[in-house]
Amino acid sequence: MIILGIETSCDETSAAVIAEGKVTANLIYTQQMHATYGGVIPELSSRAHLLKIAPLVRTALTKARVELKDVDVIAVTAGPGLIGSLIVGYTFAQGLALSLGKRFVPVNHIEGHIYSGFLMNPPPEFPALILVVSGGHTLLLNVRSHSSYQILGTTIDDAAGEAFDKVAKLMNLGYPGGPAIQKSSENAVRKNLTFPIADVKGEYNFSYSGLKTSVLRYIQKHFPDEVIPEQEQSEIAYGFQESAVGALIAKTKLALKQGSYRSLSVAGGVAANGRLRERLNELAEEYKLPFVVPAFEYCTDNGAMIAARAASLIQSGIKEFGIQEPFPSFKSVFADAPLIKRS
Amino acid sequence: MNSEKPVLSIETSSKLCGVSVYFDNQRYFSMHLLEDRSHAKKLVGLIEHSLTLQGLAPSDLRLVAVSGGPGSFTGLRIGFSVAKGLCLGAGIPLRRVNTIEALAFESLDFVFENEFFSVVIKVNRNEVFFRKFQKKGNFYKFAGELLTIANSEVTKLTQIGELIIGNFEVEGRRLLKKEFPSPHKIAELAGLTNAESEEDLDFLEPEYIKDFHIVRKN
Repeated sequence: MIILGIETSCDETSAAVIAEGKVTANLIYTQQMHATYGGVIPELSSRAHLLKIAPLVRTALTKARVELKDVDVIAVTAGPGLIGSLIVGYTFAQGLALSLGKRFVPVNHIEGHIYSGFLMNPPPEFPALILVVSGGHTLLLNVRSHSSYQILGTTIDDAAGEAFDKVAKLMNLGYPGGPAIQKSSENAVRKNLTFPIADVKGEYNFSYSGLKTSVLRYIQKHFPDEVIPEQEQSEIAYGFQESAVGALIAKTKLALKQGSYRSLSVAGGVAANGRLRERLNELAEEYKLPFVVPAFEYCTDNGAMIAARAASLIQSGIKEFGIQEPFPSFKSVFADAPLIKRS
Repeated sequence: MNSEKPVLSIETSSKLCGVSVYFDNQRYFSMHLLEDRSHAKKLVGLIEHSLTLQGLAPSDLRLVAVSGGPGSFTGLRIGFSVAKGLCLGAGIPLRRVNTIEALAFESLDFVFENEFFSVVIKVNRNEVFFRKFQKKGNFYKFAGELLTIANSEVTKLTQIGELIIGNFEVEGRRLLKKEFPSPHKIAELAGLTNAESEEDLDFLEPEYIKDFHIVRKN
């Protein structure tokens, strides 16, 4: 079976091919123009997707040495994400599936992220505790099987990746914030600066808005003229990263303590963060669990994870996908896709 | 013109979501629905039904013609995205048709030879898209550039008694109320355009015309 996976939910246009279970192409175009604004501008993003989608699909097929007519399934992200961006990939994929007479499989973006770990060898074993952390999402999930998972917790305000972006912006470190914060933190000499982690309602929930504000207040207090020397920048970056990662670790640890899992995995753009990988690895060792960490190209939004999720849906014999149209928010996932058992 | 193979046209520049399978002006099949925010959900279904009813496959089409704007950014992008997917899969060309020109083309029956007329479509509360045309034979000729202008400018750019096609009323001018072109007219106009104007599918995008502004918060 050959699956073409298409992803356009935010600022990455991606097309990937999975042939007989193996990724044979995974092309990702990251839109650069948003860096000027310190965040994604939806209209610019939608425009760029429309111009990149066809050449990316064609190039991915060439790279995978596959002809369009040989593709069996067209899988695409349906949401959650930026609605204008989702629409481009979704309707393009619909048009392509119609003209080729091939199966169209809409995929939940979060479920796609879960499956980035399943592109690794060995994949996570069920039940798996999976942390999905990106610029748009912060989720802790108990994944029981290919057709059943439970959302243990989510952020009540900003996503973890969003906090990295905002803190990087406060210090003019550039966009995206994740790599910039990590790089700066590596030069920190003093490592005793700490920022408080919010105590949140809901056992496994997260909050990043307060952490960001506390960094802002610290900067306002100590650097009123907004000029922060490089060493101090690094110390703030270090302190922030420790707290941001610490919050994720605390809830992951709590879930491991209270549940019974056979593996631990992480996904999403923030999964590329070295400190988070290091601490999750320590946690997995402590609980004697295999830790599955996706390759960097599967951490960011990508078509391969979408194709992988489609493959699992098809292999589980699921025919009704419960998705009728692109959807922007997580809430609508619950309403529109009763497919997955959520308790 | 090869009349055996039909043109598929897509009109999504406004709240109308419409398609047409067009052989010639004596034989075409159109379907549309007028429903807010229905495009992403229903456009592909409309295309599929239209083709099925005609016993056609996408590869039987001569080309896909898409209403190119100006108009709703999201609506247009849905039309373009579906069209690109269809054309890539079926290996057929994609052609963009200017939405304002299609409105002028569709209204030619209501205009005398050599008469000047204008297409005026509301952009927002204060501005309109404006273009002046002149009827020549069975076709139109441009009598000015496509403009985005303030509402008040329309009076200055039109004559008393002039025919306005669109959705903007001006005192002393005749209004032929029409907010969007009919899908089959998009197809007909695309069929009349010569093949030399073939554009690369990859680089085709809507004529956004109207700038959008990024407003900084705090």
